[in-house]
Amino acid sequence: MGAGMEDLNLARTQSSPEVRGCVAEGRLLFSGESYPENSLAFYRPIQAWVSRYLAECAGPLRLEIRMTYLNTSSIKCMMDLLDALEAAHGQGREVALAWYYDPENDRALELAEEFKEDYTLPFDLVPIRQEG
Amino acid sequence: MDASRILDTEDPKALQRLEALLSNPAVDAAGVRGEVDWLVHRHLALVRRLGKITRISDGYQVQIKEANLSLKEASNTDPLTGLPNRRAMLARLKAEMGRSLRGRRPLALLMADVDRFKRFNDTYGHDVGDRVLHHLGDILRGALRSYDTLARWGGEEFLILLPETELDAALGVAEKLRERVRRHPLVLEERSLATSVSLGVAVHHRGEKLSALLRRVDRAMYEAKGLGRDRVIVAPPPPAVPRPVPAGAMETAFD
Repeated sequence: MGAGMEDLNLARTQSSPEVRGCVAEGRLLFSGESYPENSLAFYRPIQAWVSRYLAECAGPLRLEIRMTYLNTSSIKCMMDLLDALEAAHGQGREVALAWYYDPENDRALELAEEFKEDYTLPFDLVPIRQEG
Repeated sequence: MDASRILDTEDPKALQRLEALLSNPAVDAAGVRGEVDWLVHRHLALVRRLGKITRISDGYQVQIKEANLSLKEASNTDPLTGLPNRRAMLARLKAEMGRSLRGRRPLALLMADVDRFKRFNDTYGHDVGDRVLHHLGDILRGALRSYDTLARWGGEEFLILLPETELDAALGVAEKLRERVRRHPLVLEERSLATSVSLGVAVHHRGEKLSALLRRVDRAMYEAKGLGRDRVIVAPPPPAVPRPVPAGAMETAFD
């Protein structure tokens, strides 16, 4: 089960988020901003990692998203990813998503809610606690 | 249908399938109907998804615009007094000088410098010095018209731009500001601090560069300091610049 499947490690760049996929923990983390030159190319390996995890590993999958900005094509790619999760959820897989947002920013919650609207999988909107 | 591929732009197989169905005499209407239903369903899902992506994208766009705006505001504002800073004032001066030239309207500048400011800082600390500046910003602002611009120009210097203002009126404004400052000491918890300002006044002359006008008003202000502070000095007009008069352009000669 999931034999040979590797963790996913993409370092954060100015225009792309840090992405960490951990097979053992069944977790996929996004953190940063997303406006890569080619969003489809950037998200393809992530989508592939999720598909493979869902196909080969029986464990739960939890997404944690800490994104402050996504450009249009990144939004589309992120939704494709959520669609894959939603499909797995429909098949009885244990999947969940936590979307972290800045409570100081009025629009951040609205945007998160707009993302959440169409999905039935567990989708938590979590305010980021301010340090200090 | 693969839900995760809902927005992939091309699905040539779907169309090929539909064409094959339509051209196959063995397939009845119900068979075609099923395929069409599927395509319509997919189309609607696509439209809905596009709308959603557009709304979210617009939301992020607005966030960026708002962030830009507050950055721009911050870069034009002096954080201590909340007044326009030197950079914002320079832009304003250029714009107003252009307007004044085009409309042949007068324009005056006042430079106000806090008297013995260093003493406040040295005696009571920088905290009190900061409060003096903030206080004077409020006092000066309150005495000006809405279309005048008051800016923190430097350490303890304020620059005031008075559009549509001749020398006499500018002098009146400067005197008013000076008196107002005298009448309104800064009241702190344990003491009240009397402050005063020295002011220079200059009106813009046709053909005079901004840098030259600023030099004149600055010099006048320093003269006010030299004569004992808490007073207003009018800058002498700039040295006459001989201008060539184009042949036949008598109008210019009578400016």
